[in-house]
Order: sequence, then C-alpha cells, then structure tokens
Amino acid sequence: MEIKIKNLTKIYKNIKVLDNVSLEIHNGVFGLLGENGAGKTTLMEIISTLLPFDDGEIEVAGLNVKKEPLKVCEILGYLPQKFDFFPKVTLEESFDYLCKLKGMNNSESRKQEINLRLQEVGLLSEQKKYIQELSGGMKQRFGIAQALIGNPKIILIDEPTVGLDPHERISFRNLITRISRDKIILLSTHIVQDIASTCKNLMVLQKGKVNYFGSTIDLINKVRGKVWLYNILDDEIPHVDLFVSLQDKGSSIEIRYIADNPLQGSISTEPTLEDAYIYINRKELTV
Amino acid sequence: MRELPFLINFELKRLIKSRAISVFLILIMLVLPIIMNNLDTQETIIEKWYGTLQLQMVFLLILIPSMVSYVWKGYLQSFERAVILLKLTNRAMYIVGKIVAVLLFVSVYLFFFYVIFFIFYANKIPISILLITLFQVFLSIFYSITFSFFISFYLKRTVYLHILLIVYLVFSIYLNSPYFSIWFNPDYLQHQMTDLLFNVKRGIFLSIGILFMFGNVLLFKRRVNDK
Ligand SMILES: Nc1ncnc2c1ncn2[C@@H]1O[C@H](COP(=O)(O)OP(=O)(O)OP(=O)(O)O)[C@@H](O)[C@H]1O
Ligand SMILES: [Mg+2]
Repeated sequence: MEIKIKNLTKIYKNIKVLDNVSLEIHNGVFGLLGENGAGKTTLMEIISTLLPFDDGEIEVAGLNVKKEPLKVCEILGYLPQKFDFFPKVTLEESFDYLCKLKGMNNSESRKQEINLRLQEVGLLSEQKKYIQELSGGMKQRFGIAQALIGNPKIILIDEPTVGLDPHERISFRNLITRISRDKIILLSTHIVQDIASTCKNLMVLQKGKVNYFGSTIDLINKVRGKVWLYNILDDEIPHVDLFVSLQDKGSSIEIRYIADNPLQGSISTEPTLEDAYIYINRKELTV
Repeated sequence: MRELPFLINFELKRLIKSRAISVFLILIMLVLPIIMNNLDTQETIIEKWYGTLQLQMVFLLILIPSMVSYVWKGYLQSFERAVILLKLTNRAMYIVGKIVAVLLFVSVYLFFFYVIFFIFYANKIPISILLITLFQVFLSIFYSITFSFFISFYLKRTVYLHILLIVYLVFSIYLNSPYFSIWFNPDYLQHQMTDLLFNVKRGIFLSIGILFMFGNVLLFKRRVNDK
C-alpha cells in the first residue's frame, strides 16, 4: 500500500504554498519535516481530501483523491494540529458519536470499539471525563484513539508533540511506533527529534518545495565527516561555515558547526539528524 | 445523508447541556407567562396571551444568536474538519444538522408551553387563531435561525450578531412588513392573520428563510474548501 503524489501544486492567493511536490510513501512511519508555514498542514489536508489542489495527481492506496474522495476518507484517520473537542462532552460520548458518524450502527460493536481504542492508548479509565479535563499528552492520545476508529490503513498526524513535556513526548512517540504496523503513518513536525526516533523515511519541506526526500540515514550521511566540535576559551566566537550550537563546558565553550574545511584544532563528531536538517535547509537558502 | 440524525442528536445534547441557554428558555417559556398571567389587568384572555407572546418572542428572538453561536462559531475548528467532516458522506450535512438542531430545540420548548397553554385555555381561544398564530411564531423562529447562521459566516463576534438581530427586530415591529419583518405588533398580527394576501406575503418571507438555508449550505461548502 502506498501514497503517490506527483507534481502537486497548491496556490493560495497567487502564492505557491506547495510547489511541484512529488513523493511516495510506503508502510511505516513517514516524517514530514518543515518550519512554520512550510506547507505541512496544507499537504495533509490535500491528501485527506479536505482541500482541493491546483495541479498534480494524488493516489492513496490506489484511489484517486479527486475522483474517489469518499473511499479515501474511509481508510483514513486524521489527528489535526492543536487537537481539541467540544466542551462538556465526555470521552465516551464523543467517541460514540464519532463511531456513529463512521457508520457503525450497532451499539454493541460501538461499545467494543470504544473499549478497544481507549485501551490501546491507555485512556480506558478516563472515559467518563470531559476532554477539557485531560492533560496535553492524554488529549493527544485521545486524538490518536479517534483516528484509529474503524482501523484505517492510513493515519495523518499533524504536529502531535507540540506542548507536551519530555515524558509525554517520549510515550507518544512509542505509541506511534506501536500502532504503525501494517499502516502508513504520516507524521508532520518541526521537532527533529520526533522524526529521528520514529521515522525511517522522511521529506523535508521548505517554503512549499521538497528539500529532501529519502531515508533518514541517508540524510544524516550527507553531513558525515562535516560536523565538528571546537573549544574556545574566551568570548570571541570564530567565524564558521554553518553554526549549529554552543555549549558551556565550564572552563571553555564548545561550539558545534558544519564545514568542509574545519578550523584548526576541531574534533570530528558523529552527525545527528538535526545537523543534517540545518545543513540542507541552509543550502537551499543560499542558492 | 445517513449521518444527519446523529449530527442533530449530538448538537441537541450539547444545547441541552448548556445551562445558561436552558435557564433563559425556562424564564421565557415558564416564568414570564406565569408573571404575566398574574398581573391584575382588565384584559381578555386573548389580549393577555398576545401581550405575553409579544414579550416571549422578543426575548426568544434575541436569544437565538446565542444558541446559534453555541453550536456554530462561524468557522470550522481544526478538529471539526479533520475529525468530523472526514467521517461524513455528505459534508454539507454538518451545517444542516446544526441548523435543524437549534430549530428543534426551540420548537420542543414551544411545544410543551403550548400543550400546557392549551390544556388551560382550550375553550377560551378559538383553535384556528391559536394555530395560525403558532404558524407565524414558527416562521419567525425558522427565519431568525437561518438568518443568524447566514450572518455568522461574515461576523466574527456573537455580540455583533446580537446587535444586528435586535436592530432587525426593532425595525420589524416598527414597519410591520409581511415580506420582511421577523415579528410584529400584536395588534397588527391579530388583524392581518386571516387575510389571504398577508399569508401569501408570509409565504414569500418563508421562501427567503429557505433561501438563507441554501445560502448556508453554499457558504459552508466554500469554507470547507478554502479553510
Ligand atoms: N486559508 C489560507 N489562505 C491563504 N494562505 C494560507 C491559508 N492557509 C495556509 N496558508 C499559507 O500556506 C502556507 C502553508 O501553511 P501550512 O499551514 O500548510 O504550514 P505548516 O507547515 O503546517 O505550518 P505550521 O508548522 O505553522 O503548522 C503558509 O504560508 C500559510 O500562510
Ligand atoms: Mg501546520
């Protein structure tokens, strides 16, 4: 099963917010990395049939998004950015409602689905609570549970870890990995660590254009041998090609940077996805 | 289409849970008539009823924008798009469900009020007058609801919707135009309601309400497509 996107273009008021985007997504967790306004949400809404587009073709599991939108919706679950729900509605009530909308007419099978999904995300004991009473992490887990109704083959998840504390963030990542078997999960984020720990393949979007599309490892390998650490003793920061970070080491300050020709005295270090992300985004900016 | 009953049901439940709206409705439908009935005046039953009805309608029509904006903010929240619309076979039913829910919600209150009313005054008010009046009441409510939904697409804040509806209501009562008024002077209504021409004109008014309904569906579809 796959999602195939060919030369997709979306225009808002004469601005191409998606510009000739092409990619293929297969089973597993696929990362969609990009800064604010890169076009991540727009791409997800187009895949989910919610937004029309101006040019290109999209196939979801062999279905044409323009010609068979209803069939696409049937096999799709979506956790939107800034997920929330109506006030004064309990998890159970809202879940029951969503199951009905999904076409589950039998109240017994709805009950089973509610139990199954809430169990899956560890919220079974909270089902009588209002959604507003949940913590950020619980709310997101509820969002995943609703996206799982009817066991869809494709799940779109838009910036799910924004606002979560580190503990919640890690347990959310684990949840995504756990449900990803036999499914396509499209995970959008601007947090590099989310992708690094969950996605084998990814796409980097920058201002509507595909900046990178391929495996996470290949992306990291692009900067292998180019990431350096350099210690400075005074406040004077030397000029480097591409600065990554500064770290206070007590008696000195360590700078991390990317360069083909390092400063004398630099130590080579293992690259991370973050280094690679900064590297390719910068390259695009200076072209 | 299959999802319409579920959509209506859910919005109705939400309206029922809103305490402020229920309190106001009970005040309008129960407390107000009891007070009016106990005022010691020399009026006939019909006159008393019309006086009460006038107040009820004014308050009810002013409350309608609150109910409308309780179920519909005027725009789609991100979860409504991604979580609810994706599950529907006809997305326009989402707004239709909300409109019908508000209409049903008010109608249920009205229904119970008039059942009690009828039990008390069945022999004192001609049934034809009661039914024709009720039809006008229903027409007003239907129109105000579809109108409020329509305006909500353009106005960002509920307060503006309230102000607009109050202004409209004042003009309505002042002008007494069958084509356009959402509500009338009780005297005017009493004199006109058996007039054929008046009822034809009210038919046109009803059509405008139905047009607003279609307008809402159209605007909603457009909103879905450009976020
Ligand atoms: N309804 C709209 N009208 C006009 N422009 C829009 C509209 N929606 C989005 N855009 C523009 O499209 C671009 C992409 O927006 P999008 O929401 O897809 O970005 P994103 O990558 O999801 O960003 P974020 O990380 O902030 O969620 C932005 O420049 C945005 O301003
Ligand atoms: Mg976004």
